[in-house]
Amino acid sequence: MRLKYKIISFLVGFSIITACIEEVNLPIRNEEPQLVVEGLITNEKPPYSVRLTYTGTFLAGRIAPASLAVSGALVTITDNTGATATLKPVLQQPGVYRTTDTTFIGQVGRSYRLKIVTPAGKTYQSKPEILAPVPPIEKLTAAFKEIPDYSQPSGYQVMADTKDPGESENYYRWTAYGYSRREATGKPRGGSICCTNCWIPVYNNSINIFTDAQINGNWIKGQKVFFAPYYARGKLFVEVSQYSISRDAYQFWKRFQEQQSRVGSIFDPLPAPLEGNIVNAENPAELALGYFGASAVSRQRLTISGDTLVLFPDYYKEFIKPGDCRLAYPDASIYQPENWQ
Amino acid sequence: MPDRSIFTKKITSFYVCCPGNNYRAWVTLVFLLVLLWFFCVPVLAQFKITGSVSDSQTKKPIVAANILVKNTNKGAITDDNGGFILSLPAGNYQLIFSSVGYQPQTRSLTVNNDTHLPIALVQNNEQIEEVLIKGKAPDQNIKAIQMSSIQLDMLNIKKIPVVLGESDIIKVLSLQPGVSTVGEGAGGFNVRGGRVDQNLVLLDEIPLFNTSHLLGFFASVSPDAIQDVSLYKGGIPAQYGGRLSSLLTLKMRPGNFQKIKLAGGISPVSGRLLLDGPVLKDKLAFLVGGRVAYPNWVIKAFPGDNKNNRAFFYDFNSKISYKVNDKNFTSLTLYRSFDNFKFPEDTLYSWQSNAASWQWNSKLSEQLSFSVNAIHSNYSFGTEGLNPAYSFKLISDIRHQEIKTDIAFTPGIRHKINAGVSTIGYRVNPGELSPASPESNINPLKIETEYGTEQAAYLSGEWIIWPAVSLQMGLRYSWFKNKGAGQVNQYETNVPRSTETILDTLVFRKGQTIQTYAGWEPRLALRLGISSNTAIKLNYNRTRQYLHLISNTTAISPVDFWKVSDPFVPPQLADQAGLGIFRNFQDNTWETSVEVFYKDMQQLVEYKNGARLLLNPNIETDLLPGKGKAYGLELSAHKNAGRLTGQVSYTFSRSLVAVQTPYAIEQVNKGKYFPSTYDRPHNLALSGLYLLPKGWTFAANFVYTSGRPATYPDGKYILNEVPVVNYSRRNADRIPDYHRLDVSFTKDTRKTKVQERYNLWVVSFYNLYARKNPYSVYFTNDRSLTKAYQLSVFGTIIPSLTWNFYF
Repeated sequence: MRLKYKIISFLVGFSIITACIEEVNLPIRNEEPQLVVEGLITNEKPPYSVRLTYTGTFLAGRIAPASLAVSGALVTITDNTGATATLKPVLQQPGVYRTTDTTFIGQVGRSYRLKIVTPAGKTYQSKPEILAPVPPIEKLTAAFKEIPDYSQPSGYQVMADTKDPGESENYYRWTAYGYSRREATGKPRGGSICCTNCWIPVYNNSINIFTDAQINGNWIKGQKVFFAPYYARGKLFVEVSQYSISRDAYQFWKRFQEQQSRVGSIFDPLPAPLEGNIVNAENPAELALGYFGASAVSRQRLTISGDTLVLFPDYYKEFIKPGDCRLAYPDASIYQPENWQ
Repeated sequence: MPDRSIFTKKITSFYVCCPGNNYRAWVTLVFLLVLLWFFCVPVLAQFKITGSVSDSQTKKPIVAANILVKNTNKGAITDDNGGFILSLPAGNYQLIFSSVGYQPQTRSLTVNNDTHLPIALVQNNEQIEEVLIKGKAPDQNIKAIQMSSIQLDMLNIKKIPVVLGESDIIKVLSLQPGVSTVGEGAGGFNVRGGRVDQNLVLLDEIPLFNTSHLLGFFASVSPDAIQDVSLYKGGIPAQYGGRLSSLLTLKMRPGNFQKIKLAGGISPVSGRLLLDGPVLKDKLAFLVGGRVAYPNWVIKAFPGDNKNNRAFFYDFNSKISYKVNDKNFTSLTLYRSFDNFKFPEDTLYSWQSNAASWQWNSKLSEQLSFSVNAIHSNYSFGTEGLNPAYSFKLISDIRHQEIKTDIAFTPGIRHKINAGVSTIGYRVNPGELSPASPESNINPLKIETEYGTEQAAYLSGEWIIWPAVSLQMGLRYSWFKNKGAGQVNQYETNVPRSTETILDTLVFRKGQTIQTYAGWEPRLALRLGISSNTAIKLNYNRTRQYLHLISNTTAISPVDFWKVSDPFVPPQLADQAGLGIFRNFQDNTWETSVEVFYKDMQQLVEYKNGARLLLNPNIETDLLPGKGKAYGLELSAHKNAGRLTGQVSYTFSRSLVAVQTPYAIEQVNKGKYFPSTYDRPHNLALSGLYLLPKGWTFAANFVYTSGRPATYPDGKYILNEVPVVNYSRRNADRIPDYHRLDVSFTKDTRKTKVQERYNLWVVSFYNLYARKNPYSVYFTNDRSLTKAYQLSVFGTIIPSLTWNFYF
């Protein structure tokens, strides 16, 4: 239900005319660190990786500081036939462990368990996670969506259609990434100006999940899976991945989503730790945060021809930064990404 | 004497559903024995003064009028039919009759044989010196056995400053000790650490399942039509049951039997009209009232997308009263309340209550009277999804139908006996989803309709042992049956319930009993008069609740739905005990009291983390049993007379909950007690009215409360490349304290005391010093930085002007 979100936005609206939202300085209480596990095995080719960290305090950043990474742990994945793969630490990324056995590939119908022995000697184990099949993405469509706020790029809303199988309970998750064109003023090289047009990668970290509980056996139509920002004239590339997830994983990500969307309303769900399927083997009352999942994946790509679009001329000006476009934007390149048409 | 075998059986059945609570059976046994004794006490031989007190205009009996025999410590309070009995030895006396809203009357009386006295009191419309909020008679707080109760004086309710000028019974009640709310704009109220669904709110005996308009900003009953508001925080009379924490009775005005009256008003968000008068003079009277809101002009001032939201509400009250003859009185009450709220091109929410009750009161003799009530109440909630690909309609509703009979018997001046039976039928539709158009991809889904019956019988006696000591004992027995048609899942034992652990499903036919719960509910009150102005009072009550509001948000939200007890959800149970000392000063000008209470609650409904409640066909897989305890100290002082009247109260109270399950993943706070979301230990409230010349009144409220508990993050990590904050202990922190001052100026245009047509202008300033009171504190990620924000709902001064007229 989005009501709680709506109500809070109403209250926020109310409070803007009557009151306000203020930033307050509250120190985060520090409790004993808890183990955080993030891992996934798929039916695609290896390697598969698992990230182990502890909770702690840090200010900013999308990567946990190295001091919170768990190094020196013993990590294995075992399937229900007894096949086991050991995960080795990745040197450049503290806390990340990766499979090295190329013959250990996730298979639909099997179940997988993750086992961790921490340097302190504690053993954690995930519950068996079944790798369920996933239907193919039938169709991707894109529709231009204008954002009224001109400092933000408008773009294409990418939507997926899938036929849900009627015989089983299905849970889905989508992720997507893409490439958009972006301009810069460029820098002079030789007699001309170089590096005005780049391709930049675009990602989206939001959790996009779905249950067939209300639509079992029907079409999933127009599921919004990605928003491709439109900065400059030209094609846009998008790749969408559709994952099967288990019921437990769905519930975990649902809770994750709920906790992330907490807005401080009294209609918010009560805050709760995001405990998943990983338990201390000696003490079942001790749960780790995070989730170890198993998914089948189907992927589809879409090329959007943004050339025909007519926007008011000043639209693009807002998004042109000065200098070499390869330096102005992270991971930008002047070459079209390989293997895309 | 009841048949012994039945008695034993009842005790046993009680014991079976509450193992380990053997002492409760003993309490019940003692209660029964003492109750029976009431019937065996001989009536004392003295001259009997009987009489009745009624309104001089409407001829309607005045309930709980106070009768005082001057220069003695004798007195009486009129019963539900306005009747009273006094017993006096021969002699000359002066009797003083008084009641709130009436001019007191003194009568001289020579007693030499049994006498009957009909008394008519004159209404005191201009009685501006009226108390802000007080008991019904000047010394009722000392003389009556009831404690832990609050009566609101409806005469002055319009002068109390409120948000946007909407007079609101619940907002005024929340200025009282022991009554709190989760925050501004939260629906319902909490009494002594109880939940919102644990309040039995009765409008002319009709239970209301939602008391809010506009998501919780305003109360859904317009005060214009209400004559009497009583809240029982403890010592709930045996006549009432079905909710754990409190009883709030709202009595609608019967309508004027003499002449037609029109009253109304306009506030910044609503307009009101109320018309009442006789159809047949002194025989048949009607009352019709309504309120329509126009909040959209306020909403249109909102920034961004919010200005396209639309809200609307109205409520309607009507009552027809008929005096059949001197002994019989009947009335019919109708109530409707409607709300909707629309988010453009997305969702339309609507909720409504439709209710009616019919009452018949009959006075068979001076000693014996009875009443019969037939009650219907329906509350429904609907959502319409407007997105074409997923357009849907979702409906949920609850229906309550009840018949009850009560008998009041007054064999002598020292004894009063009440008894009655009631039967309620419940029908609850927890949710029904259907596609709204052929293009919709939504599959229809209906959660099974739940049926239940609740029956109760009670016997209660009040006995004045000698003038300084009185005792009230009541015993209520209630039965609940969850009935078919229905399906009940059987689960594996020793693992958490989930859809994967369903072993079998039992199917029950229509009308077949699925589950029965029953039990005793003893009620006790004791008064010890220390002197003519001091009393000590004690009370104890047990309550049972078979109906639960399913809600796992901090405050109740409009999409919450009701559920009856079933094999997985036993009735909620509470035991509450209270002790109070009451003392009045300066001829009842000052009333002071100190009360302490302790409440133990069992079998509360709690929720798993991330529970899916709405449209869950196996909802028991997401529910957990909880238990709670609450205790507190309430101090209060009222000033009842003079130019300045008002009240100061301070409450210290705690409310704690624990969820204990054998499974780690289900535990909340590792099974330890944690503060409930409405645990606000310190609570100070001041309210006052000051009479100024030329019809002006100045009123002010000040409140101070501890911030409500909240859960702040206590760790941080990265998941899915997003920083995530961890919350490992529920409600371990508190948002900052809340305090606020409101003032109002009221101009009454009456020039003389008897003027019938006049206006009442109210200018009010809510949150006078514009404190940004925290409504909540929340944490959010700004890019990758986690920041804390505080939201205030009414963070500025809110002025308003309201016009009330009386024609």
